[in-house]
Amino acid sequence: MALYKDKMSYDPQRELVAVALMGIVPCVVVVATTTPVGTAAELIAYARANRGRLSFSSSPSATRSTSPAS
Amino acid sequence: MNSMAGTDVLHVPYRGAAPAVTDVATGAVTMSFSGLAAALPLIQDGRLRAVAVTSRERMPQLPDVTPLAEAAVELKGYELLNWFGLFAPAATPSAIVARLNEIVVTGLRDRAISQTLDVQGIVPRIMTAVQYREFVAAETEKFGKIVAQANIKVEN
Repeated sequence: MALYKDKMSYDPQRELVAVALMGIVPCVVVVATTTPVGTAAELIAYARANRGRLSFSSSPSATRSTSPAS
Repeated sequence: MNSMAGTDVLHVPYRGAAPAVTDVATGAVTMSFSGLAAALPLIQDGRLRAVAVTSRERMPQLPDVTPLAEAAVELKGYELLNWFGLFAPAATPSAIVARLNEIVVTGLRDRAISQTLDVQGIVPRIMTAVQYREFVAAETEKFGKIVAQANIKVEN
């Protein structure tokens, strides 16, 4: 996986001061209703029982550019 | 999640949130980590089921859905958030920063504004400027660790 370094004209850590957090946007983990998983604990159990056979999608808007399952 | 819980779920990056959740409904991928706004129509249609949230606390919008942090002992402390906040140029006087913070906090307490945020899957979290600075520092450190652990490289 890779992060992409766009040419930023400023250093946010040096040149900005934090003013106010507005809100957090948690990710919701969704499965198809046909998948035999109903709870978070069942999701982990299912993922452990099916190692290497499952996949998850994410998009940059929901997850920035890092992967939430890493 | 994979690194903490010892699972091995393959990441399939999508360009947009809508195809990312649609492909869960069709079975192309098993699950999606999505913002609530993109997933909600398919949840309401009965095609998708929300089984976990990545915040440490439950989302007010999904009171019955458990945080991943509570799904397994190994996931204790797991939290992955997108967040929105305001920054100003570093030279901004602290009295101005405090006043701007106060204005945002007043807005977040407004019922109409909080309802608008609610449908977008945003959970207001009120912080002082100092608490927010500490939050940003902690997030920076957390993502630094994830980048190092997952061996993610910067590409120019």
